[in-house]
Amino acid sequence: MNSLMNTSDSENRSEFSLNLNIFRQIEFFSGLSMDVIKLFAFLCKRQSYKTGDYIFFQDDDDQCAYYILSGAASLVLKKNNKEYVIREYKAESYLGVLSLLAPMVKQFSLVATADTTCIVMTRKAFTKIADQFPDTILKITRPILQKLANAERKCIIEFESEEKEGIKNLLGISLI
Amino acid sequence: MNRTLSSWVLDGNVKLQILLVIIILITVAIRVVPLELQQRIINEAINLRKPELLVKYCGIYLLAVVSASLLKWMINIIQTRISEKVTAEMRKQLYYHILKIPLDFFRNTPPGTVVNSIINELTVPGNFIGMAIAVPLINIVTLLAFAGYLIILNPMLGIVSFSLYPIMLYVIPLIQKRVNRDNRKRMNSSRILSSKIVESVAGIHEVQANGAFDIEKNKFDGIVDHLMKIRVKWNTNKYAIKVTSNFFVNLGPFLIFIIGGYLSIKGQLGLGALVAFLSAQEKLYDPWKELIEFYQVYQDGSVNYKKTMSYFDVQINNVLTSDDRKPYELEGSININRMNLETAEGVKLLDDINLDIGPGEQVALVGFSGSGKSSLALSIAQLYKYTSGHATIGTKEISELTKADITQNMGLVSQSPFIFEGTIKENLMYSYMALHGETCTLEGDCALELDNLVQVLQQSGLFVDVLRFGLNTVISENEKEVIPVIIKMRQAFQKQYGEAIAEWVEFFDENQFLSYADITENIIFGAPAIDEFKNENLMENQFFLNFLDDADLKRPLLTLGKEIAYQTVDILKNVAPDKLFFEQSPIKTEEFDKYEEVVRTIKNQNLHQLEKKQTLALLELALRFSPGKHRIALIPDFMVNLILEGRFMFKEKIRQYHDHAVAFFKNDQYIHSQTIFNNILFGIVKTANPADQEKINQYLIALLISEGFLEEMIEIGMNFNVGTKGNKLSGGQRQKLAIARTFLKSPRIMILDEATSALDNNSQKRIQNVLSRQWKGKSTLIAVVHRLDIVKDYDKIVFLKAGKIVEMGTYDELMAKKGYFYELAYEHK
Repeated sequence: MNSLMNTSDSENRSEFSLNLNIFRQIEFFSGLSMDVIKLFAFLCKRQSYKTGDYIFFQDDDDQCAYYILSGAASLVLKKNNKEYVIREYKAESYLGVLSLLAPMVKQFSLVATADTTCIVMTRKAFTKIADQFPDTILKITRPILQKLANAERKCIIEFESEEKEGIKNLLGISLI
Repeated sequence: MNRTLSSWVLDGNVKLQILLVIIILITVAIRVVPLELQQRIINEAINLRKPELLVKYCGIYLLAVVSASLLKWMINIIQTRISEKVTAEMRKQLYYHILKIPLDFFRNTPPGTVVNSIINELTVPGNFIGMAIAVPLINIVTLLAFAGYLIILNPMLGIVSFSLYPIMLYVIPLIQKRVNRDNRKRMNSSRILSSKIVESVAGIHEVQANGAFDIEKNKFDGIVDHLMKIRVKWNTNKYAIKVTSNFFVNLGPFLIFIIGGYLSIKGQLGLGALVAFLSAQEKLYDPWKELIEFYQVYQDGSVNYKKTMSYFDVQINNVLTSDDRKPYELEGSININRMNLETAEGVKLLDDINLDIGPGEQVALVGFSGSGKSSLALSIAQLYKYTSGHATIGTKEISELTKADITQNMGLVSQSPFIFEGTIKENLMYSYMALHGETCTLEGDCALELDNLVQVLQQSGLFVDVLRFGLNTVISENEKEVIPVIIKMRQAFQKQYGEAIAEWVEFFDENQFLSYADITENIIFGAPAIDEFKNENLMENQFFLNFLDDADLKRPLLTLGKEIAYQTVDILKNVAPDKLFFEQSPIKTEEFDKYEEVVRTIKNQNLHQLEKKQTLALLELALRFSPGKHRIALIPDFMVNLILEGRFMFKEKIRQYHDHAVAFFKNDQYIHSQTIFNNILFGIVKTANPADQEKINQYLIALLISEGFLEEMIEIGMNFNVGTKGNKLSGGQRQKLAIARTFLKSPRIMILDEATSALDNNSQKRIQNVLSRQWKGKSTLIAVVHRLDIVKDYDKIVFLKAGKIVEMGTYDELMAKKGYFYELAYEHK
């Protein structure tokens, strides 16, 4: 029988209802009203990838944000014909929220390291929701800025301890 | 545009106008006959009691009346012919003129104004031309004839009858002045109204997406109300002219009764003469009325004509063609020397540009937005007229070339290319056909082979899209010859690739539930062959409704329908209707209010308490539910089993009801309601992952090649209708189509104004490769580029800032210089 009819993890619950539960717990969306989260859960789609499949490509603006529902993926940077694995993402990771807000070329590729299923939200759908509920962008921006400030704080600590010149260039990014 | 309205009167219509005058003169002469006969019938036939004279005069009377009617009919036919011919000619000339007006003009001219001018405003001037000779002539001559007749009959009464006309000739033009003033206002208001309508239709996506129905309605209502007020005033004054005219005409008999009656009592006027006089007097009414109407049409026509023509009386920068030579075959070199482009307000869009481009060279224009890149490209393309300096193509000054010279040698692709309503093929051949002419392209030496078209489709990257359009075509009844080929391909496809694609496709299998088909399709499992089994009619199909009951499906479906309606209404209750929001639910955008009402009404009701209307609404919803597509609800396992059971039961029952009601899905039968793609697949694609879909496509292309059907599929795909303004295509597909049509034209100079901006990275790179490898040396290329990673292969990169060239050189030179280009390139990285 098709998996859509009866999911093992939560029998008798529709995909929408499962998505709703997940979106409520993603930090970027937690400040939003239930009406808006319902729309996100309603408009996102699930996408499956086999091990080795690219989920998104470096230098491409795919206009999507991803929640890894199951499986795992590597963030890969290709430069000068070399591939660097930046980090691994496991289930329950959320990536690409900036792509929802504005045109944004992905600086890395994401490659599935196991059979992976993602919940995908498109910029188009996000924009439609933000048009209806204008404070959505503001509410999503707050945790993003918080993350940016935290990242900078970490860089400062690292700079203080090791005085790396490379890190110096990143300092002050919260003042943009 | 400088022609007067009267210059159209004889233009190409001399013979018809002369014929009209002759017929009119005969008609006028015949019209007088009954008047004379009236007198003779009374005085000679009746008074002298001569029946033979009565018969004779009545016969002549009848003949005169019949002849007059026939001649009047002929006059109308000729008039209509002249009117319509002139209106059509005015429209053609104005349209042709508008096509050549410089682009600046259209920045302030909404399309609605053009539509309104060509369609509506030229009708009245056209009508006037049809009347211009006939109506005044027939009626003035008639009036004079009657006047002469009346004066001969009785000079004093005749003069009294006409004494009122000078007063009318003074009063009516006074009122007409007001009518003209209102007519001008009406035209302005009509233009605004037409523009508003065109704007709303063109921006309907935005209106619906924002739910801005009230905003648009209020704007529209305001304009309509304003127009209504003007029209009421305009028409009131028009009727005032008619009423004034009628009043004075009706005063005529009053004077005749007073004076004529008195003369008759005194024995100075015969009774027959008085009757003839009164009768003739009454007959003055029609010609006078027609003259007044003519006067009004003349005035309205003049106002409309002058206002329309003066609006479009714009100087055309470059002549279309030269009479004394063929278009130049220009060299591909471009030399620009101290070129400036300045707006009327004195803003310098281009400032002292100096640039030399060799034949076949490829030049990229880069810079920030507003730097003048596009202005420079469009000035070279003659779409902007540079205000000083020189620019030459070969040895010829661009500003002195005709449009034909430019189009002969140049191809332009703009950032937002316009795609016309029609097929891909028609759009593809547009530039080529404009250059070589329709006759030569379609029937003559310039005819294109399919290979030519396929080549440019491949170069532009549109090939795969066209193939997809072909595969997504539902073939019509008259293309039956391809059906056996497709069935054969289906079998070959299953054999070769069935296993490889099994995880992405749901094959039609009688024993399996289809998650990506809706419940109706799962039950019927075939294509309805008669109307009553089509989706839109199922809720009126008693057989089907009874079947749902018999198959124990009705109550589970109602439960499902209720769940879908509740969820959708709950999620979408606070948003403006937008198509995107409704893609995930079987409720259509326009049905939301209906289901909101259903949900409100049945809130505290159980299924058995539902009214028939509510039951049908929920059943319809559930039957449209497709679990693979609509993730809002879940179908329980027992219901899936019921549906599969029901599928077999339906098959059995319907055979008893109607033998050919449904064409069931069978592996050796073509499904006429489905696309070629689904017919080959014999199933439904369930993956939304573009990479997986691409793999299926690649298998299909491999199959089409091995079966020798690829070219035929491309031909089918090229007949895809792109919709108004190419709306059925994506932005990227529109750009690819525009690039392909320029490639097909193969011009000596190509101008690409951010022509690939809507394409994804790979497509942009692909087209850049084609330009570098296949077009370098053949065509001079000037490309306005916003992505700096594709400019490496250009011979020259020109960096503009505030209308000036601030850097120029090869990619390596500019990167080494570490100036503006380097900065911009670094920022992009």
